[in-house]
Amino acid sequence: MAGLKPAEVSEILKQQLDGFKTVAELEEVGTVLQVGDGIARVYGLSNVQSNEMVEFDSGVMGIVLNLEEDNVGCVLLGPTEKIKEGDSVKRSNRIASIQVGEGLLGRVINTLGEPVDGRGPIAGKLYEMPLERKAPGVIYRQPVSEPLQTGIKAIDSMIPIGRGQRELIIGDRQTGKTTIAIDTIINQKEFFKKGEPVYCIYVAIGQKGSTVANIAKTLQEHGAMDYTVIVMSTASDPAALQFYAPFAGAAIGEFFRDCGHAALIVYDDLSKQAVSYREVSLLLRRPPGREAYPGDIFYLHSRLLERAAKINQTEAVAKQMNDIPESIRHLVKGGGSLTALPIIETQDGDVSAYIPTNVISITDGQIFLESHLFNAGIRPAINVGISVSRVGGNAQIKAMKKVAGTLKLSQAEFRELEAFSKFGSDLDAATKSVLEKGARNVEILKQGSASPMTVEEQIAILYCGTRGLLMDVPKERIKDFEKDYLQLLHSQYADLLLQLSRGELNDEITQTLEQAAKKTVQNFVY
Amino acid sequence: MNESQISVRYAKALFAAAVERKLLEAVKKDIDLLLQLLQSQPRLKELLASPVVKTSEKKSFLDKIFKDRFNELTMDFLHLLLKKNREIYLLEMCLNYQGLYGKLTGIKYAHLITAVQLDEGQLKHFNELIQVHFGSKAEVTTKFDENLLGGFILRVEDRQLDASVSTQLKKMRRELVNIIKN
Repeated sequence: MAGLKPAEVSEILKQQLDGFKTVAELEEVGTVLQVGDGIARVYGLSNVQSNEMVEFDSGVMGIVLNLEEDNVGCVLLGPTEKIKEGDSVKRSNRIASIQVGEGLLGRVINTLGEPVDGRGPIAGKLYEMPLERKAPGVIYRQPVSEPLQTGIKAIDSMIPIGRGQRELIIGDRQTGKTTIAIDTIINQKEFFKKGEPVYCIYVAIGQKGSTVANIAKTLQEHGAMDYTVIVMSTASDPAALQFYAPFAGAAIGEFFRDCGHAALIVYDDLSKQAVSYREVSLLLRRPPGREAYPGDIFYLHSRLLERAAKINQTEAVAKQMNDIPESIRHLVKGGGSLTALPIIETQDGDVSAYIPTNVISITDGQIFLESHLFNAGIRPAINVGISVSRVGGNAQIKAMKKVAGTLKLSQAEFRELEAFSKFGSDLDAATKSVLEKGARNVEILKQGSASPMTVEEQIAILYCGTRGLLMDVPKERIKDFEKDYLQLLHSQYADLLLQLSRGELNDEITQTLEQAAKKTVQNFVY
Repeated sequence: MNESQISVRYAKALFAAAVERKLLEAVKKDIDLLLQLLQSQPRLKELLASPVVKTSEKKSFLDKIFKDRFNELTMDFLHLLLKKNREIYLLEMCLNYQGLYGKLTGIKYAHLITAVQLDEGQLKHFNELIQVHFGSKAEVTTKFDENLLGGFILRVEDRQLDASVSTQLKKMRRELVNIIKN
């Protein structure tokens, strides 16, 4: 601004004014009949479409949700106080949409795409993407085949997530749901550095402003904001903004997906979104159903999650994809993906409530977190027995599949025996060995927050666990062993790690791993 | 229950009765007056909507004001509303009646807001304008509003031609603010 002269400012303004249209246009209008609680009923607007944006006299925007016989129900995207009965309402001829572009990366925005981080307007070219868009059809999709590395040992080994998958994270409050999502975002830094970024979108729905600020700070500290967009609607925002926030996030994710990139979106959390949707629905006087949720609450979540997809590799096919917005038609490339990690908060571990069962049935698997595991110090507090990934198995790299293939079953067996052994009776040697090994694996699978591990490191350490190479190491020293062992591998066997990361696992490699493990174990035996 | 159906049905019933008794014009006049009162006197609407005021009181009140002015059919209609406790929807019913009337006769309701008082010639000109742009005759109600600064706002049913200076200034202001923001 410093170098700008007043004359130049006037010149710019003059140019803008020259382009200003003074011709009055024929507009379609209606009149507010009733307003309150974030809802307005409007008489007129007889040609308005569902989901269209309308503008009130005061400049506040609304979205049309209900088309009734003689009036139209709109949700307001701004303060209700500014709108009076009798105000006129204009059609905008625009379906609710958001401006998306690469300039969003590193920014915190609201549901309408406006920056809220105080760092000025969004830079770069922006494209208009509709909030509601039909998911890609079957022919434009491809089965999930590539892994999405979360950097969390327990997940990548036993509940692998593939790119384009929808994996639910479910659990009570304070069990580390958000942490898993954030760690996964942080782990994508590796790929960002390699030049094959997985763009991340974190959608915070109805959360405290301070919580979102904390998350933004954590991501910033780990250098993860460079490839991340945060969409937030705090608890104080109108209900409409809260339930549209995931759709805004999905629109951003689709932009990256359709441009041939990999993207990851976290919806934190969909139970709050369901609650705000219920609020709007009840105010619009739609009939309530179970737990007072409206009848289309299932459709709300299923159409949102269906937009996560792996797009066909062939560019010609991808370009034919249904419902591509005009603005990005020229940018469309094949092979992109959008992976969704929806989060659901349960009350007192009740997964058979309405919303949890709905979302469980929509997603391709779930990660169950339990508070008693969390309190027992097992973090991430994943209940391995009931967590599944229905498509992820195809997406694991070969080496990981070989090493961790039996881990899930053996851990389930361990849990069962552990329950029995609590009775304190004498145990035979075979049972004892299962227990010892299982307990060590539990130790291996423990992992601090914001400390993701590369896939080759995971394979190396899990190999020791599943092969029972650590029986001589005391349980409480497993973490120290892991540290030393990985250090040894990094310093002396860097090539081997490289091979592992490519998915190779042959006899030579396993022998070297075993040698390295034995060498390290020596230091821990009493 | 879908409440918007209530007003549509009552309006249809009144309209059908008016057609049958050949009182279409007379009832329309009453409805126009009623609508104008409801829109300009919020207290009237409040009174009708109030559950505290007894139905009998509402009835004697409506009788007092309207009995001499209104047609018998309109009065009966108002009494029916009171009996059925549907008086809250009166405004919507009036709007729907006007809609039905417009559909039958092809006459549209137009509101013209101007910055200066219009003379006969200008008004005639506007009537022609409506005929050309909207393809039908219209009943024009005019309003004078200094805040427009200049020009006019013409609204025919749910379409509006806004050629007022104040709106243009508002638009200009918004664009300039946008430039500064970006």
